[in-house]
Amino acid sequence: MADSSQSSRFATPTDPASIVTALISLANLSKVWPVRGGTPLVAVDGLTFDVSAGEIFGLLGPNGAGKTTTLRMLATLTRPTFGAARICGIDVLSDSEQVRHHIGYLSATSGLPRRLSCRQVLRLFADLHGVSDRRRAVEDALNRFGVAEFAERRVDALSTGMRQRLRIAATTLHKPRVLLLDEPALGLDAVAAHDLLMHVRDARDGGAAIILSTHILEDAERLCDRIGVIDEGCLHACGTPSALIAQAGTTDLRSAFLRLVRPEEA
Amino acid sequence: MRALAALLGMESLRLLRTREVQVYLLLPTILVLPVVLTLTSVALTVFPPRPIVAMAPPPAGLPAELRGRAGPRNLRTDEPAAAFSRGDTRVAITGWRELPSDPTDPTGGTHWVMDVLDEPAADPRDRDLVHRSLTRAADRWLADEVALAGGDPIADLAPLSVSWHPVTADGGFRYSMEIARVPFAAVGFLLMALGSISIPGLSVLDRESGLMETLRARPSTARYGLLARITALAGLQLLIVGLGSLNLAAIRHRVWSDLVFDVGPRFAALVLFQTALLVVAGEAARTTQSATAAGSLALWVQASLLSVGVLRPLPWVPAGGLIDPNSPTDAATAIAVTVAAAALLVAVAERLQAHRLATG
Repeated sequence: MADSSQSSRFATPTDPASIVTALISLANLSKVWPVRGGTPLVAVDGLTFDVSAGEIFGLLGPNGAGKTTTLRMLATLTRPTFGAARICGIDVLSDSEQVRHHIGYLSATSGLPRRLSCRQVLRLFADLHGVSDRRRAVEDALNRFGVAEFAERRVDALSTGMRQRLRIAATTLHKPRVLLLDEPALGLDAVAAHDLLMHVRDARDGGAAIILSTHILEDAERLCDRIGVIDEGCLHACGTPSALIAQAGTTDLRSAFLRLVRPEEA
Repeated sequence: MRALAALLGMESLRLLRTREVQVYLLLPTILVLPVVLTLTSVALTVFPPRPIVAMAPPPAGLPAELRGRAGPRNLRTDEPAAAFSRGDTRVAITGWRELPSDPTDPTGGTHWVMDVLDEPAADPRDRDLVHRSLTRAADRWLADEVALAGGDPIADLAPLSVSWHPVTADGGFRYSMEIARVPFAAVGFLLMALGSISIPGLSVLDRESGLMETLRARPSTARYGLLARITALAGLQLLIVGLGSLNLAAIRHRVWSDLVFDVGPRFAALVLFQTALLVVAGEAARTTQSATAAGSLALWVQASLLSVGVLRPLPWVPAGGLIDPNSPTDAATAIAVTVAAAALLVAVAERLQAHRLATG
């Protein structure tokens, strides 16, 4: 494994076109957790892939596969042990603060200040990102995500669906070029999940590069331009949904996924 | 700065909108003033206290700090002797006289003699109170004068032993003020401890609720977030202590004619440092339980520091023995050191937060 300080891997991207358009680049990205008195746990093992502008990259894998750790490393919340990653060309290790200006990170466990109103939450995030026209950005987000009606309601008085809408509004308020979504639809009903994914699609159409980690394979098949199948920290397969189905020799993504991560059971 | 201001606003709003803060911390301190003052006023109306001292108006030249104030226990009157004769008071201060300067006097300053009428059969408790007040006030005043003149307060005061009747002194109310500082410091400490016990738990709650993760994925929020939190928490504690002190000062002013306590920069710096310490404890804690334990430990630290004289002066000042807490320059240095120590703790908390967030 390469040391995290090495960035030479970026000099030879697998796809020449990605030199221009890749907003997310992973090169041998790895995370090893030390275990006291035991063998170190390799959570992510040498991931290498790119995600271009206007692309949704699905990250599929069973529980404990390393999806969340990967996204947290890209979101600068966890330091990689080896390898490197760049967001909009900026190294996540050496310039994490700059990286945070360009990303919108949302996970199932992302929280919001509960005692603030929706409008106050959006104002806060606009200020944190230095959004120039705060008032307009906040009003736009309130309207776009259907939160305007509850603008003055406090977060702790919102339903789960409304809260998730506010989360995605807060995540995309500053119009990030990169979206990192870790199980964003977890716990949502079908309608709320549908709405959320429509917003993700809109962001993609607006030119954002998106990594979407999900357990809902139907969503991944419908939404993602490419999918990476990850298990035990390793990337087992990567390609368009149809390419993965073809590679696995199955008729749908669910079967393909199972065959790719558990070939011995196939 | 915009991000810091936004985070400070968020932290302040969150705190002020927390029911526990409203009900258990702010409400009592806000209510103490009207409730206790009303009760005190009623009590004073129903049971008017008998004045102890009748005082003549002080002369113009009397140093301001030596003037007593009119109040239920001090009867300011043009005819103190008459009031004393009528039995309205136990003691009367009928006048002050400035003595001519004595070239051999180590104080090198003015001396005042107070004419006091005393009643041998007076209630000994009243007499003792006045006696002690006057003697101590005189001692302090003379010591200050000696020190100002460059003398040694202990050695040079010996030939000027102060006696109760008649003596160079003020009305004794400077002493009352000094009495007030001790319980107020203790009350301030208790209120502060009450307010700070839950501080470490806040970090754990924010981590568990995912708020910390959300904020850490935003630009410039790690250090700013901690600074904002510490500032807001310290501000809340100072607000509580300030309100409590204001209430007590107002009560004292109504009853004893003394204004006393202020939340000064030294106290504020100490609160800032202590809050930073508690936030570090919170970042180090894995669970709410361990955070509470850490908070208790921090209170132990506070209590220990208090017992060795933390609140006045700052902890490391007497330990070092290098700084005179009464010197404005040295006090400013001590405050700067305290704030710097708090900033160091912020850096520690930042590291701990990143570690906890990364490792879950």
